[in-house]
Formats: sequence, structure tokens, C-alpha cells
Amino acid sequence: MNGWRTGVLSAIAVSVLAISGAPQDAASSELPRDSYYQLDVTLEPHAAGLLRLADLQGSPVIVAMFYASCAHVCPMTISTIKAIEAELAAEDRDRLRVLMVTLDPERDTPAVLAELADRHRVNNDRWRFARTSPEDVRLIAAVLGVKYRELPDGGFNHSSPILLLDTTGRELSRSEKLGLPEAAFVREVAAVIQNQVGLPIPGRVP
Amino acid sequence: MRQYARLVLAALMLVPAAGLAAAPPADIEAGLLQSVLPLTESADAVVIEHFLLARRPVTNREFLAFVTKKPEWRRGAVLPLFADQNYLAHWEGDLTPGEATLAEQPVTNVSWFAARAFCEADGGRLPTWHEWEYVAAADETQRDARPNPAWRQKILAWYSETGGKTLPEVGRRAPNAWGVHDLHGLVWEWVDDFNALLVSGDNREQGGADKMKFCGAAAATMEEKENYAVLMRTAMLSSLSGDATTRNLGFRCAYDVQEE
Repeated sequence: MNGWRTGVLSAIAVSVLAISGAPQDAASSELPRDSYYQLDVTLEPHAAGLLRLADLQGSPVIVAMFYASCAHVCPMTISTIKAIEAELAAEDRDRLRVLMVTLDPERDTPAVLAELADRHRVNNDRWRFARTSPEDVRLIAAVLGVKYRELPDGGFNHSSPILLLDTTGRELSRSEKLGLPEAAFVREVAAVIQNQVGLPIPGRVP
Repeated sequence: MRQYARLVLAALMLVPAAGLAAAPPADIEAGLLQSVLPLTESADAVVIEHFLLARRPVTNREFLAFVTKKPEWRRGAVLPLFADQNYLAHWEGDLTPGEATLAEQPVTNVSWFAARAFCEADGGRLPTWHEWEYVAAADETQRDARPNPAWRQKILAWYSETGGKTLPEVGRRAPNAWGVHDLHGLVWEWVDDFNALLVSGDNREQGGADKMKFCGAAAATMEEKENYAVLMRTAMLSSLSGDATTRNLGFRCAYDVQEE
């Protein structure tokens, strides 16, 4: 058990993918009303099986958007998150999950994303690079407050916030700074991880 | 409460269909658009594919039918993630627009998420910014009237009107050359890629920091700076988040063409 709840989805997942992110279903009714996991979207990650956003509950999560062929800012987003991780104590780091959602689902197949994960030598227990349906990309971007537009050359203009979500998918903080991590942001990551220790099943706390 | 909902449904069905049945959407031929927001600095024309666009903004009556069918989009039930506190604030109740609200006024105080869900339930989608701009470039006789100063002045005059008046009903003004009403002069309208219009203050103010925040080319460059009216729209839309609602922001749906 590495904290990524997968395998819940089987044949159903295929049909879920076809439906774009309508809010709410029975499974998410226990989430806080302001949880980002209320967005019912299915992700296709670089490793393991399909994932719904709501499956992320239980761990603090860092989430950002990117695309694999991006030459400048996206690698910096990845290295910034790795730098945040590096500042955490080992036992804290183990409890953190990182979700990177691509803006370019057509090109960024799970194979491309797996290659990217290898290249950046991220920890596959904690990190997921993932794509979703093209319609759901804009939905996720709207929820996360990411602005982006596709360019004729296949690239994207986009803003690059790094968001910290609590165990129930509520946004606690965001950082727009790339490169050296913001000290305040790192402190918040550490705090949310440490505050979760010893709580009953996260995500079900009223 | 449930009984009341049934009454509302019954009332909806009693509304005479004549004149209220939505006209079929306008057929928008493919073409090229010199956008005020070109995709690159070289400012190449944007290709607009053949699509359909609703002739009128969505009305209170149509939105009531939607929330009657989709309880999760009622004012009292909508998730805060998808709509702010002013969502449908001008309605008396979840299923009662109230006497001060006219059925054929454009619905406003709706978020992007709600607008998108409405269009999806209707078998459509929100138009993209470029699609909207392409159709909105027309006056009553010409598909691209933007070079006409008199037309531009007419549009600007609407933006300078003071708020607080009762919103007119949809479709009262003459249609443009595409047969589409109310793109100017009634309400602002959501577009699907509202969060693609990278002209908001937060990235303009950063100056040299642009490259730190934006992948690829520099943020959108605005062309045709004399076209203030359309630029005001992009600035307004790009300042919003998807849950935002305002009293003068509504939407209309677009539909893909099923090519033979």
C-alpha cells in the first residue's frame, strides 16, 4: 500500500472517462463541499491503474500542471517540487503525494509520462504524472486556477502555480515561485503532514 | 418542496410553445479571424471551424428548466467549488425566479462551471473565445464590421451605459449578419477558454517575470488596440475565476457540426 488507491476502477473507468467532470456522486458525498476532489474526473497516470481525483484523499498532495514537451518552466516546476520534498524530513516526505496533470493529453500518453518520470528520477511511490480527457483539462485548470492556451506550434502558454491540498482535497496554499522553494510554503507542507499523524482515517474527519 | 417542484414543472409545460421554442442555432461557416488576441506574436489569422452558435443568450426560463432537472445546480445545493455566493442571487428561491425576474431575460449570476454544465446537458458546449469573437465581429449586414468606426462607437456606447437598469429580454435587437442576437449590448458572456486569455493584471505586472510564469512564447499580445470594446471583454473574462458570478454575465451555447 503506497497511498495511491488504485484498482477500484475497472471496466467502469472507461465509461467514466467518457463523461466529463460532472460534480458529485455517492462516493464523493463524504468530502468537504469545498474539496477539489468533488470534481469527478478520472486520471490516467504514468504508473499503476486509473485514478479518480477523490482517490487522492488520505494524503496531503502537491498538485501542478505541466506538459512533457515543455522546455523551460515545466522542468522548473518539477525541480521546485523536488526541492520542496528535499527540505522535508524523510518520514514526512513519505506521507506526501505529488500529482502532475498534463495540459497536453493527446501527446502525453502514459508511456511518454513514464519516460518523463524516469528522466526526472522521481519517486514512483509518491509521484504521479497523469493525463485526463481533453475536456477535463480545462475543468481541472479552472478549479486549480491555472491559465493556459495552446499555441500553433503545439506548445502552451500557462501559469504555473504549485498547490498544496490537505488530506480531503482542500487547497491550503499555493506558490507561484519557481526555483528555490518558498520557505513559508515548505513550512505549510511540513505542518499539514505532521498534523495528520495519528488522526483517524483521513478524509472522513467531519 | 417536492410538490412545489412538480408545480413548477407543470407551469413550464403550460407555457405556450409558440415564440418561445428556441430557434435552431445559427450556422457559422468556417473562416479566418484576425483576433485581438492572436496566438503568437506573428499575429497569424486564427482558423475557425464550421460550428453552430445559439442565436440568443440562455434565459432565466431555460436555466430554470435546467436546474429543475439537475438538482445539484440549484442555488441551495451547488458546491462552493463551482459557484460563488452570488450564484442566481437575483432569483427568489431555488426554483422560483420570482416576479422581479423576467423569463426571457438572459440568465446572469451564473458561474462558468454552471454554464458549461448547462450546455453539456443541452448536447453542446460553451463557444471558445475565438468563436465568440468571430461571430461578434459582425454588424447587421457585414460579417466583419470591425473596421467601421461607427459600429465600434455604437458598441462602446453600451459599455459606457450605467448599470442598475432592468435587463432587456433576449432577441429584442436586430440580429447580426450571422443571424445571431445580443452579442453586444445586453450581457457579457462566458467562453469555454476564459482561462486562456492571458492578459490579466497578474502576469502583465510581473514584467520580466513573465518567462518564469509562462511556458513557450510570451503571454498573449493584444492587437488592434483600437478595438477597446472587445479588449474590455477579454480583460474582464480573464480576471474571473470559474466560480465567479456577476449580475451582467451570462452565456450562450455552441454546438459542433456533425460532418457527413
